[in-house]
Amino acid sequence: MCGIAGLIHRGKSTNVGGEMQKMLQSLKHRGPDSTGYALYGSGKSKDYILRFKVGENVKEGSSAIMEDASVYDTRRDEVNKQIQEIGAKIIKEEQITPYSFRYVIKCKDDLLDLAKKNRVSRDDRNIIFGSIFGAH
Amino acid sequence: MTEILSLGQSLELIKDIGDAQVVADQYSLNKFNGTHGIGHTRMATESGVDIRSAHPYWAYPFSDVSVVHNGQLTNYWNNRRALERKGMRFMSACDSELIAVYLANKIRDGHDLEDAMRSSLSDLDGVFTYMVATKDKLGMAKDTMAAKPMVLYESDELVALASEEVAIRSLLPHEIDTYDPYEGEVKVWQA
Repeated sequence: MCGIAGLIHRGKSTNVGGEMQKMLQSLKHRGPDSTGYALYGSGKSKDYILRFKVGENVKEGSSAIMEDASVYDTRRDEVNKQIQEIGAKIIKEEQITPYSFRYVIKCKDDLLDLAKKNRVSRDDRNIIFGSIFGAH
Repeated sequence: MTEILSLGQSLELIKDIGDAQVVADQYSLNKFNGTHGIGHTRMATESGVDIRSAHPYWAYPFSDVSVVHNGQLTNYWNNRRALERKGMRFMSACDSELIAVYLANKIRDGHDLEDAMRSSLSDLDGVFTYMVATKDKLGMAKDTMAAKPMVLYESDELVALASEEVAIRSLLPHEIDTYDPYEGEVKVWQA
């Protein structure tokens, strides 16, 4: 069993993060294990916001395996490198948790065009536009 | 392992272990200003408790498209292979992601969101209710068996929808009229 919720304001912006939290918290009995949000900001910026993670949360209740923190740095370096490879530039970076990040990146091209250009073999190792994730 | 959660001009995708409050506090979501959002609370059944298995999913690599769903798809692999042949990529084996990528591919082929959602109801088998969000729209679709619940509230100012009415009442404590969408129903709202 899972719970889903959504909200849309017509013609105005509000604290949609707080509102979604209230809605989802009241559905906790349908799914207490993890929570996810897809939030839409004003969208006026031409820059892209990149949210990514380099590891798992291993707190109590998690089934993820603890990894050595040094692999986080290696993975983050790889993301940084690949952002450069697609010709984009990181203009702001925030670390939210030991494993999750929020970047603002500047990119001249449309993302979809970039993805098409990078549509090469399945062995492609570009994290952003490749299939490094495989089937899990 | 590295996972790109979202890349877009307005979408920000955040997911972690714990209830809505725990995750919102950890990521300071109470300060997030915006027009719309979708979300998911998961009870782990088929895979472990980790961030990788948490919803929502971004429709990689289409910026700003995300999906949450409740239910199961039964023809996951057939649809996934067909989409992979068209060059679409998958980051997980979660069926919510399949819905996201399915819709993104239709949009790329020139369909509007509502058309794409309508064809999903015949192309995707299973029992499901899903929501999709794009940069300026929010949509919902309910499969023809309508086994998964959805309650809806609509006014001139806002539209709120959820698996249970209690979630809508958490936002609008005053007297409101809600209703259940019909089976096979597709709706799209503009921000």
